[in-house]
Amino acid sequence: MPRFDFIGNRRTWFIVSIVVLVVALGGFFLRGLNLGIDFTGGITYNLKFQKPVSVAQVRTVLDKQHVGDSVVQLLGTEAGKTSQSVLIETPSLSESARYALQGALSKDVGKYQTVSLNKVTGTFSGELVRAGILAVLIASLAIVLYMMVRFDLRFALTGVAAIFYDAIVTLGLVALIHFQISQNIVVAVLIIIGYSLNDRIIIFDRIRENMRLRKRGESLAELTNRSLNQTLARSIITAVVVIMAMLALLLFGGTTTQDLSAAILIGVTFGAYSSILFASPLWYIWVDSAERTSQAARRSPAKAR
Amino acid sequence: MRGRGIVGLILIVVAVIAVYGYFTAVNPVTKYIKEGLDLKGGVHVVLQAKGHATAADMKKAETVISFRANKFGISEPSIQLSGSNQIIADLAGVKNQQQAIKLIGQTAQLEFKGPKGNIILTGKDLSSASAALDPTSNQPLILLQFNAEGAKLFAAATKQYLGQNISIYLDNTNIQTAQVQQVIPNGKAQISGISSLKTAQTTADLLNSGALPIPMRIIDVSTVSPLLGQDQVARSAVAGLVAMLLIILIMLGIYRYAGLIADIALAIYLVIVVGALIAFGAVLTLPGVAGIILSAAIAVDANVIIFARIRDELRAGRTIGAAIDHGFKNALRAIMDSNVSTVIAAAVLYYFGSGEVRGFAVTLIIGVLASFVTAVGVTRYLLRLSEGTVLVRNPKLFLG
Repeated sequence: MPRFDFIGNRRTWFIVSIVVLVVALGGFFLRGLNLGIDFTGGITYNLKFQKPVSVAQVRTVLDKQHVGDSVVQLLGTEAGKTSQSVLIETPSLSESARYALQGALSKDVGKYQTVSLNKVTGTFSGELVRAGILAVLIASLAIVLYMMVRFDLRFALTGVAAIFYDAIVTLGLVALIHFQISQNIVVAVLIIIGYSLNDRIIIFDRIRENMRLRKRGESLAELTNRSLNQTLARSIITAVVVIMAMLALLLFGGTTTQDLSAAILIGVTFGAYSSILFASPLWYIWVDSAERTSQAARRSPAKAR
Repeated sequence: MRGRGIVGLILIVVAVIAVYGYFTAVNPVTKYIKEGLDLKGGVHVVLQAKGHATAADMKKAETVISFRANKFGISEPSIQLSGSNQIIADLAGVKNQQQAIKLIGQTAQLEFKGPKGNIILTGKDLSSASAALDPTSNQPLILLQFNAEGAKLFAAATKQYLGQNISIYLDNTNIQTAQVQQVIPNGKAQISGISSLKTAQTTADLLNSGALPIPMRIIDVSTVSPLLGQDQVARSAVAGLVAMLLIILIMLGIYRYAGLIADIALAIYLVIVVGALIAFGAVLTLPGVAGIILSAAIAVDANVIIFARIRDELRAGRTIGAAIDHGFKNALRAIMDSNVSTVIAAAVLYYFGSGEVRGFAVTLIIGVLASFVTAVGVTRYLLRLSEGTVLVRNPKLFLG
């Protein structure tokens, strides 16, 4: 069994955790979430031109049509200079503006065939996002209640706090990298919350078991360290298995699922980290101070006598 | 005993490989999985009630639209109420979009009116409608059969308006006006002057599905292209295969024989999940796939936990048999707590969440149950089966 002193170095790890959190929040507030058309609504054109075209050609037309904030992507070229297949994402447009744009594209860029036209009305607009967040909050409350019954209040609150930590860090880092927030990212966050929950419970289970069989004179720091070292091999192996699987999806998978696997990769890495180096030290601090208070309380009446 | 264990194990491995071979190469299982709008592409339609609609109206409208979607051959319709006056229809794999949208949103209110415009009968009095060709003129017809109440009303009306005109309206459009030639007591009527037999058939289908209880307006239509276009499907399949191979190799590398057993359990897990999805007729969406990925990770984790515990027990000096028993017992509590809390959270998400989140919750619940059965049940059974063999007796071979 390894003998790392996780609890002794808790200050260092808290600083690391806080730095990561600050970076993530910075991503959130300074860069902001790059909401995709799943949220904002818009139109995705997948066009196949008769002759290869460049991004600049398409951009010129988009600017003239006052939709300069659109995204233009060439599909299927390795060099990335010109291509026949082009993906264009515009904000929501009126029928007439759409026809004007389509006309201008065929006149100024070249004749094309519409492979697909995907009009999105912001499937994740306001109400749906609020309902989703509410559902996650109620689910967290249910987990807190379950953990209060099976563990206790301290395990429950530190565990769920650390799950939120993982979700916020992932979203913040996603904002920092400036991934577009699409349905994929929402899905990734759900996976990360689930993974995080599982990871927390497995490690807290070992601490709970060791607390029950606590040896006389073993300090809380020793006990927590022992528990974390006992579960360390499992933590690493499980995280490595998931990370490897996600790397495979990231490297070999198609472009449309890359953001999904990348976000899960970030989330699972931080999930494994935060179970050991954030959630457990947090639990330790709370329980340790409670133990000190009760010891002090036991001692002080003795003094008074 | 030893021989039997090995033979049993080999049989199970062969059976698993045979099942995978059959359902990928011979009879691809993908045929049976219903894919949702995001995976398959299709049309997303939002309908809104014109004017005030009660909850009962909306419920009825939802049923009518579902009936129509099925009637018109849309493979995986998902019809949902949204808010107090909207219905979202996700029509995956729709071929003729314009027609599908028109039919879904049509009120289909049938009315028979007397000469002064008074309503005699409505679609509610109808028991069935069917399309036919007039045997003499070879023109398309819609044959109507009224229910008992309708037949009585129709008999009275044909008696009252004998020699006068009765008009038939569909959604306030006059589709036929004809003179009453005779009293019709049997509740049968026919509509002629239809442009084609196909139109007659769709109109009959619409009439059979019943009218929408309230008129609805289509407020949004969007065409959804499949998430994985043609070029992406092959890449995703390769990526999935590489990911699975990696997991199998890592488990084998770390846990040797026990790793092999975990791999078999994982293979059986996937069979159960896919089987359950097909059995329940669940529609697979991207969030659904995510639920499967997460529960697969939980399944692998359960075996890692069990093996770690068995190693602990072996190190503490127990015999292999006792180590397996104690290892399972100790691991079970953690696995149970993790699985139960995951299922609780998924159930809450299902109850309070919307379509997207629900797809995730459903596959997660199925997946976690399957992972419990396989990662705990199957793994334990296979370890027991081979307990007497050298694979388990030799600690290096057993757990690496």
